[in-house]
Amino acid sequence: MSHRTFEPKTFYELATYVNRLSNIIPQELKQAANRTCISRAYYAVFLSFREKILALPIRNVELRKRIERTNDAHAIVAESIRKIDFNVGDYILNLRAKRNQADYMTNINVTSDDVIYVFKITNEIFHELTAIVTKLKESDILSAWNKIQQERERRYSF
Amino acid sequence: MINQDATAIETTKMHLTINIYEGLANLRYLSGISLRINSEVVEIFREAFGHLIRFASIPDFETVNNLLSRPSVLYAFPMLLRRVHEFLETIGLHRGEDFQCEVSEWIDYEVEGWNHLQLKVTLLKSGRNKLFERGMDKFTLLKNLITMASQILPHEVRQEVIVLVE
Repeated sequence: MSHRTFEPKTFYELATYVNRLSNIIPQELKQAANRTCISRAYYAVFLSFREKILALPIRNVELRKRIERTNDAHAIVAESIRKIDFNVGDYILNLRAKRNQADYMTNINVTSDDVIYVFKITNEIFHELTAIVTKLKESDILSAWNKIQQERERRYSF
Repeated sequence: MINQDATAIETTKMHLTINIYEGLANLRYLSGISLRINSEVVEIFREAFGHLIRFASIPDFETVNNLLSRPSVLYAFPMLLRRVHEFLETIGLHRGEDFQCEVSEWIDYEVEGWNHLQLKVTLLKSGRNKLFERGMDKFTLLKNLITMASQILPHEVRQEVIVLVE
């Protein structure tokens, strides 16, 4: 495993720092700040889990590549966690949905209430992170990846 | 036509099981499938669907199709919806005034093939205020509903279903 030079959780620390500055952020930048906070909170969670998963002895080379180098990693990480704990998995999918809105949907208003909601979800996930990671096995991750592949095949079989 | 030896169809009052064995699993090679289903079973699904649309809106045909192709989900989902409504009514929230409830597809447009059936509860402004008055917030609600789903839904259905609060 390569030597780590960045701690993903600091994305969340940055998000909470930016949020604390909301009183001095100009009004015209507040939406962008709110959206940035949500996006960084998601990436703090996603990268933290991905790093823990990549630290496992994954023998399947193709699976490891998918997690390291492709967008599929988002689904593989979340679905692997759902295999261990549905509740935490659902928190991650809620967080992912909020991140997708924050990063792509310019037709909605992203408020400071949304940021607070996302921070509460993020805290809960980080609280459970270690317990979940200790239970994760390569078979769970592979099974999560297979489910996504099967769904793709199903969609293209028509 | 499906060979009787290769396909087992069992119906009881509560369960419909159709097992299509591996050799026949690729339905592209079949021109059609005929199934005879006990009318009692059809009635159970009709009732389940009735409950579903009583408690939630289903905004698109894709979701309806998805539900009809997964009998175990269709059968279990109304139980969760009923409990969610009871819970929300208990804390003084009413559908339409304080919240909306939707059963639809959760789709991630960045990762192809990543989707789930979702129960989405959207809190309206008055609902958020009522929650606040009761010392709750959106996250507490999410936590309650997610826990409820894990307790009520059978494991194989819970795998398919996610709970969102907006």
